[in-house]
Amino acid sequence: MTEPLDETDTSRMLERLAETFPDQPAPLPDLMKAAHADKRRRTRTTLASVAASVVLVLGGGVVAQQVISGDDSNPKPDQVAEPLPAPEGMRYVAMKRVAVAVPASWGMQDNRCGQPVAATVYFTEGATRSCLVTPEEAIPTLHFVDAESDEGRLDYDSLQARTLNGLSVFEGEARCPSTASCIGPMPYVIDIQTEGVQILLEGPAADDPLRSQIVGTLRLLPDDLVAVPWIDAGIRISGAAKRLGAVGLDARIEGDGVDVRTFGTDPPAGSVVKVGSEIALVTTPGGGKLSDEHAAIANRIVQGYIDDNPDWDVDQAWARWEQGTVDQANVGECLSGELLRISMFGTFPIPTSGFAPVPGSSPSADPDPLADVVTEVFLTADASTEEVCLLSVAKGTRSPDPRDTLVYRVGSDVDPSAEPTVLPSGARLVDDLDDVLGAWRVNDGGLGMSISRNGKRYVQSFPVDCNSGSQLFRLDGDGDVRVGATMTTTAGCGDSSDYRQAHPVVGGQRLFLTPEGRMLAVNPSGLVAATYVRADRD
Amino acid sequence: MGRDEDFAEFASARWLKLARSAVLLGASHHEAEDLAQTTLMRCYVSWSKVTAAAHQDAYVMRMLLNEFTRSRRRRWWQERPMSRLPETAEPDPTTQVDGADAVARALARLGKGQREVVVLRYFVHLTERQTAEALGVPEGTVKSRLSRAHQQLAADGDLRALRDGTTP
Repeated sequence: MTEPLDETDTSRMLERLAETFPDQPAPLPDLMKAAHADKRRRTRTTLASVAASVVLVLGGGVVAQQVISGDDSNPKPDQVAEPLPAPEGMRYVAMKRVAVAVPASWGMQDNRCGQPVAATVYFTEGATRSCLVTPEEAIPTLHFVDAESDEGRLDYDSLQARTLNGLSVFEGEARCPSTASCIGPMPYVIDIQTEGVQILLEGPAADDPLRSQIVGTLRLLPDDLVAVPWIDAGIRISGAAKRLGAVGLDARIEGDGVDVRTFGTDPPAGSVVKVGSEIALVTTPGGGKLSDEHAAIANRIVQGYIDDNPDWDVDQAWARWEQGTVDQANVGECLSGELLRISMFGTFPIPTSGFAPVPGSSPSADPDPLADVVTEVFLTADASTEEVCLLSVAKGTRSPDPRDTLVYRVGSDVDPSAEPTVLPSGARLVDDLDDVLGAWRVNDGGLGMSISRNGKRYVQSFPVDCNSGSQLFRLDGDGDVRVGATMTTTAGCGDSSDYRQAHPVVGGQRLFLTPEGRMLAVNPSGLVAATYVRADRD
Repeated sequence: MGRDEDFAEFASARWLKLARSAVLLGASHHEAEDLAQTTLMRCYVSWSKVTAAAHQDAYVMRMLLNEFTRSRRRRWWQERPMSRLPETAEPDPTTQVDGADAVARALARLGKGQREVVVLRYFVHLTERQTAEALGVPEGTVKSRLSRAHQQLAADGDLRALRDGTTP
């Protein structure tokens, strides 16, 4: 029988945990400094919003364009380029009020499938195309993170408070937080909390003069300059114009304004321009509503937060995919809701013909040479958008490419305490992917992996809607599993306690099948890193 | 007193309670410090609203809860394509604290709403009405969540061991 628990007992127990947080005085000097800065910043933003609203009202409403007009009554973006002098060979880029100079040769948003492919400054993309990008290391990049978006700040350990060029920041070589697993090298981070901006610098090492050159230029923009904000692909023109207006910029758009979606800006996000400058919104032709049939399917593959969708599980996900017959639906139905995530697989050919590319920054400008081996597509809604638009929905195309691809889900529900075990006798090496196609749960409990042949099957399988990724592997004829690439998603997170270590299992180099039908991931030492059981519906 | 002095006094008085409440809600110490600081910064920016609030503690706790919810929805890490294996994280030593850990585990097993009412009611010591205000729910909801939370905590194995003295 359960002993009663009175209020005093409860309070006392709570105190026990609470007191693990040390009794220390409030950091008043830092707090006051930060509070003053925050108040100044908010006041400035409010004033800019008011000014922009006036501009839009005087403009008589919002219309759309696909190209910049030849109207000379307003300065063109290139006429206001580089208003902030940078050291020789460099140029300033900025997010909100925070500006920093990078080598002039660095691109802007030079990404493919959400990943930098050349030295570039980039923002987190709301909707990301995922594909089998060959991992490129040592590409120098500067990544701006909007810590005030709903996606929020990236959490890193080991940053130190210090003053950089008169700015109070947290900076340092980031370390993976204790609550997470991290993939890849940790960046050098400058977290300007009072401005709601994080700068992640990868490439230049601590002793590289380029790093100190870049860091040495960190500054706040003067009041007459402003950064072109990131505009998520796919949002309505009116929403994009509002975002520009909020920072005191004028959206320049033409067209019929019906069902038109934004695809970028010119000049691109991060450019430093004068307040009141005219920024062209690069748009899609729009007009494409999903058919009822496709809209219904699209809705079925939309996953909300787990709280709102508690019955989401692998079986349902599987069923939804199996029912899917979406062929090709470009910009179309928009779905409202908070932190929606849309996932699907198949090829994802963003139609280049329908877009007016942002010079030097369009992710759709170059045809993807690896398109034939695309096995998975995530359309990840940006958490900061109020609605999510399907940029493209494609049926899973059966690639004729004979290469086998194994899609490995890294994410959740792997027992972190599980030690590798000895390979049992009777287990046979898997050298034919057909033997293991389908969905597998990890260690009898979790949702671990789906294995597909050229994207034939894929299961979106998360018990918690949070950061997640997939690892693409290739199963060679000799049975070796080769690492391909980690796929990306960006989504909101639940409780950190939900995230358990999954990555040790990535160490599996070969797959074995036991006579009982279990699949074993075996590491290079010949030990079993993880055991899987079938999760297929049949 | 001026605004800064008022705020300094206000912040000093609430800092520890806010940080510790954040710990009880599930934040790490580092996060709790951040949350308390951000909440107080927001208080400064909205100082007139804070001072005009019928119950300042309830108002501030609501801000803390909002910040906490927001922080739970942020990204922990950024995924990148890599050809080699990822790093693994070190265990957090602060989660290894015996008795406190038992309480943390028990709280983690409560639903989010239940956990919030327990913290506001039995740690911050808001009344049921103030708790309802802070959470933006009816008072009846607070009562029912408290009741269910109490039942669950009373039946919790970790807490029972703690009460029996078998957990240090």
